[in-house]
Amino acid sequence: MSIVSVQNLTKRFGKFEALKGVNLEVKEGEVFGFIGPNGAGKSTTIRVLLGILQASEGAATVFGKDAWKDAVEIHKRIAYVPGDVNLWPNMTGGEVIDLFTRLRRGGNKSYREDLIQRFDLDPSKKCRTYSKGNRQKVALVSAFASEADLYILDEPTSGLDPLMEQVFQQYVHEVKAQGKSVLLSSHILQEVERLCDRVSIIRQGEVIETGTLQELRHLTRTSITVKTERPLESLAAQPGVHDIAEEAEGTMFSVDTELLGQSIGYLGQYGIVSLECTPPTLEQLFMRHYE
Amino acid sequence: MLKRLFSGTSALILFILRRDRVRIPAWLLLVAGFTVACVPLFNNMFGSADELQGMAEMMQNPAMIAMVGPVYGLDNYHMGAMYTNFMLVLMAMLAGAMNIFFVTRHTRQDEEFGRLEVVRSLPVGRLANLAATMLTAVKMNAVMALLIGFGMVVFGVDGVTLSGSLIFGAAMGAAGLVFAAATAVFCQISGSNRTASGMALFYLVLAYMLRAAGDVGAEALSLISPLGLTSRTQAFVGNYLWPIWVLLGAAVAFAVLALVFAKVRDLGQGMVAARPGRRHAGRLLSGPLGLALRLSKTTLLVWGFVLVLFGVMYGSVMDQMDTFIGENETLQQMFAAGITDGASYTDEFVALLMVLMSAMATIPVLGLMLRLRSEEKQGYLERVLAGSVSRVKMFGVYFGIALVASTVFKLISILSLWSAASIVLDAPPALGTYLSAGLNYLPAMWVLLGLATLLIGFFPKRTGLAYGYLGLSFFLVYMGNLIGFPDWVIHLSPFGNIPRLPLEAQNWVPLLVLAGISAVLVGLGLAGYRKRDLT
Repeated sequence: MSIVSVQNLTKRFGKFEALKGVNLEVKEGEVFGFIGPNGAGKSTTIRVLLGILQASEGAATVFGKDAWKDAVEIHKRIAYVPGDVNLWPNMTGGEVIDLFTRLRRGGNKSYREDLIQRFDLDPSKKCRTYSKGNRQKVALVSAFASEADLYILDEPTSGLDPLMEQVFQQYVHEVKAQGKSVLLSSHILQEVERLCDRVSIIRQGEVIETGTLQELRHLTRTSITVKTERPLESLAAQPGVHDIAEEAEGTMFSVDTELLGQSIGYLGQYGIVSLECTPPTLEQLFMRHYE
Repeated sequence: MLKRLFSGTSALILFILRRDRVRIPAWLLLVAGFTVACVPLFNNMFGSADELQGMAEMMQNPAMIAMVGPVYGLDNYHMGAMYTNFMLVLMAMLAGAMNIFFVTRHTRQDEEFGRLEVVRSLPVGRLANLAATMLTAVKMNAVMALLIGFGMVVFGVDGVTLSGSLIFGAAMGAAGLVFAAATAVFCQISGSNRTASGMALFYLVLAYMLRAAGDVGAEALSLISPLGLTSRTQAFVGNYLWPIWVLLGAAVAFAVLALVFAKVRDLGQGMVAARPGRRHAGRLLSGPLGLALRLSKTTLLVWGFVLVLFGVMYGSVMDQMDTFIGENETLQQMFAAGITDGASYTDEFVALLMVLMSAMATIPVLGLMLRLRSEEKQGYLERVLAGSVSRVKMFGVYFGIALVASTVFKLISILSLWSAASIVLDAPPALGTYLSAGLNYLPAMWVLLGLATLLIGFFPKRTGLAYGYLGLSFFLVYMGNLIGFPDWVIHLSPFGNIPRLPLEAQNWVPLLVLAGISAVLVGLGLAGYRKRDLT
């Protein structure tokens, strides 16, 4: 069952078209990664899903309900963490967490204490004294304390230290284990790689690639570093081979993953001394789409 | 559907009350407390029949009417009538300011800082925040109205009846609500907090100006001003309720408009879409001066426009002075003897306007100088000073802009007043008189500017005091004589030391002394600014 479904979503601000027919689907129990550079339309898509912005064209549904019309109903079951958390300067973190819980009319009190401890947050401090990371913790604590069915996280770790990022990842795993869904937009590709089942890449308001990491990797190139007994002849002429460079460690090149087997066979003819084969990281994937 | 738009309103009301648990009581204490406390104070000062009679005649002076509002109940001018006459419009303005700050704080400011986005991601209706803000404003104004209504009568002052003070309080509350609701509309129209607050404060000033022109001349102008309407209740005299209904009706209309706008527009946007900015820096933006000018551009233009409008507005009622006085023989006699020989009502009015317009022009001048501090506070200055720009240069740039702006602001406001006056008056007034009357105030404005630099140099966290001293200085010259403060108190205000042309003769000594004081203040301020840490 799909929890979030976005079809042909277009959003215009005056003449500027921020989203041009975006399609997205988050299935029940999956962690869905949403990546793209600044200004690509990640946050705009998320705001449409939250019913904060109204779609110009197309449909956005959450739990099968219209994101704009049924916003209040939907919001009872979702938790949202923005990348840039701003809080009321003269309220304490604890007060803000409680307000959010009250507005949601639910949430787990004991879970709250647990979260505060694990995120190492001092809830008695005024929000004006919090650093960016601490304000983000306030939002994360109130989100994870909410017992929502869908977590919408928009660059939620941009201010956290590596230690807290680990805690965050643990919680994402935990909610996933409970069968809940997560929509995670992020710049930190390692994080997405570690957490997400499926990924969509958005660029200039259009989703250009969607699939599991496996599927996406298939579409890209594998990096190879090789040393052979005899010099490689006409490597450049081999199908699917790119970016050849001679380095101290040997010859480096990348090859279209589909043609990997063929290339290894070719290398075999020259007597392999050493061979290093690296699957593409998400970062390479990402960069390739943006070049 | 409708219910869902407002879902969560009551929780948000509690939250607003919690956030403003100090601020709201403080405002109420200030506004209601001041209104109530002035009743016995005024009674002490003007309580006797003679004094009241004197006030009655003074209040009929068109300059006074333009300042505080029309006179009602002359046949039996008791304390109640006098109090409403003197205080109602001014206190309603204060209530208006309270409401404007309250509404922008809880709507546009929260939206701009991204706090509303988090709230909206919760099961909260689209209009809940605006509705909660408005409903809290209703409560706040109701409490204020009741505090005033029941507070003013406790002193048992002659003419201050319960029904009258209830109407006095209700008029203030209703006017406050109009400003709250109008501010809510501005917050939907404009995409930024600054612009929205600016529009709302402008509306407040406009309302005051409209009723000033209306009370002196064209009555209709007062009836479209919320402040003018408050006077029409004739609290303690006629005790009319209809203006309160009109005000409440206007408030409801504004509130509905705001809700409709809020429902239609996207969060973070205004009804009017923001224009795309420049792709490249213009030629102006090429150094510290260019940057400072670019940042000050809006202030310069908006305030220039406001000052021109103000000048034209008051200039165009100048002829009403003559008719007003021409029709009233007793007034003519009383006042011809009272003031300096040869001075007319028009002269007195001009002298009053010069103070008013100078104080007003000082607001942006202080703002332009204090930008040096606000840039520092927001961390922008750090990046500029990290370049090859010295502190002295930065200081000099902002001071220079403020100094030039003070002169330009004065010139344009005098010229617009004079132009409008020469169109309506049969015998155009001498431009030279207007110019020297107005430019006389420049040294006083510079003293305030100097104080601002001193604060920047030594007390950067207390720069708001410059505005406080401006307010006090203005109050002392504007109201000091009426209330009967001794001369030395009035001289505490830089404006109080300026020879009041055309009523008094020109005297260069105080002008030079004030200019000297301001130079010393600026020198100290610069020295302090060079030495202290940037924070």
